[in-house]
Amino acid sequence: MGAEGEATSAASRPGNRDDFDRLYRENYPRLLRILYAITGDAAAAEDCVQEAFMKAWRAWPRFRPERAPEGWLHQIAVNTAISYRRRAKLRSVGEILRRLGRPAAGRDPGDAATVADVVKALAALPPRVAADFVLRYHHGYNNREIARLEGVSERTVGARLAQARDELSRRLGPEWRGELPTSKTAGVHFPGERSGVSDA
Amino acid sequence: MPERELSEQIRRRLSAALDDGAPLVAPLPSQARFATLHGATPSPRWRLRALTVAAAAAGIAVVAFAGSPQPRQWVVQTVNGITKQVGIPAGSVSPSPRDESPTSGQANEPTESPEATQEPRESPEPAESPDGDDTPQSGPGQPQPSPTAEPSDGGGGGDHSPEPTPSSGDGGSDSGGDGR
Repeated sequence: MGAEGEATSAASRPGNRDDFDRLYRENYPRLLRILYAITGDAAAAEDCVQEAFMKAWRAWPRFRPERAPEGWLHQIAVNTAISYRRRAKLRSVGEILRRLGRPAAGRDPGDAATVADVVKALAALPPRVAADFVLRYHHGYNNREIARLEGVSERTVGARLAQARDELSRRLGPEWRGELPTSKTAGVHFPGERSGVSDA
Repeated sequence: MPERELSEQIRRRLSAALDDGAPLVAPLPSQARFATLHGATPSPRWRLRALTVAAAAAGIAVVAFAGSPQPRQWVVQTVNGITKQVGIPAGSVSPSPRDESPTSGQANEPTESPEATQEPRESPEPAESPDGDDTPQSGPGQPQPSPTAEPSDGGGGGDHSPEPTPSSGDGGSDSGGDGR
């Protein structure tokens, strides 16, 4: 997993269909993963990515080439996912109101320790925090690359990643807090830390 | 302050969660949703087709309104036939509905059907009918009857002598001699 999105070598000519197709092919996988982490729903993520590319295509003739098109696409996609989440939240509030007074459905025990928990925990993070976390630990970007992609400072990226690790360690277990790079403590559990979540 | 790193195991879990949940079946660019937007803009080929159709329509219109009588009649007949097929009341469209072939006398159009049966009444047009793509009624064999009817009145007067032509035949033949 390298920082594959970093190198989109060829110049992109605004309005050019072939260049846009290339951008689509190169960026689709990364954006799909990021939006999946933000929305927590594969179908919604796919929908949002497609919608994002539609928006991007409409704006493509006005794209200014001095900016990295990957970052531009990233921003459109994350904004699309944020809108989706907002709408989903409104829908869920409506759903809760409709269910008021009825007995709540019990949680399926099969839900307990699946990989879906990870996705659920990611989807509970603020969208940009989740996006940075996926870029950093799934796609292998470093902080500088993320900062450049998103047009923010490295410090912001570092703060977001720290927030993500904190939140995830609360939900999924202390191992999600991470380790300092110099330590040789991989796999070692610290005595006061929670270790309830299995890796299975 | 150095940043914390996730262990390899946790990274694998993260990747597994993302990969399992959202399997990567990226649609081809041509199948992507934005490609439908792309199709909406008219391509040069479409423009060429549209231009061709427009030129043809303009040509037909010119022939219909300003051409020589024979092609004009043909155009009028064709348009009339099409409007009948489509179901538009075409009474106003055609100055010469008389040349409608037997097929034209459909039940749909009460206004048209009588005219189709009483063709000879339309005096101005029939003059051209013999040489044109005439109908079986005016007859392959008898050139006389049709010319007879119209020259008599030269204009709208044809309506006053309703159906003398084919049957009464000879009554008009003498006057038709000076006709066309």
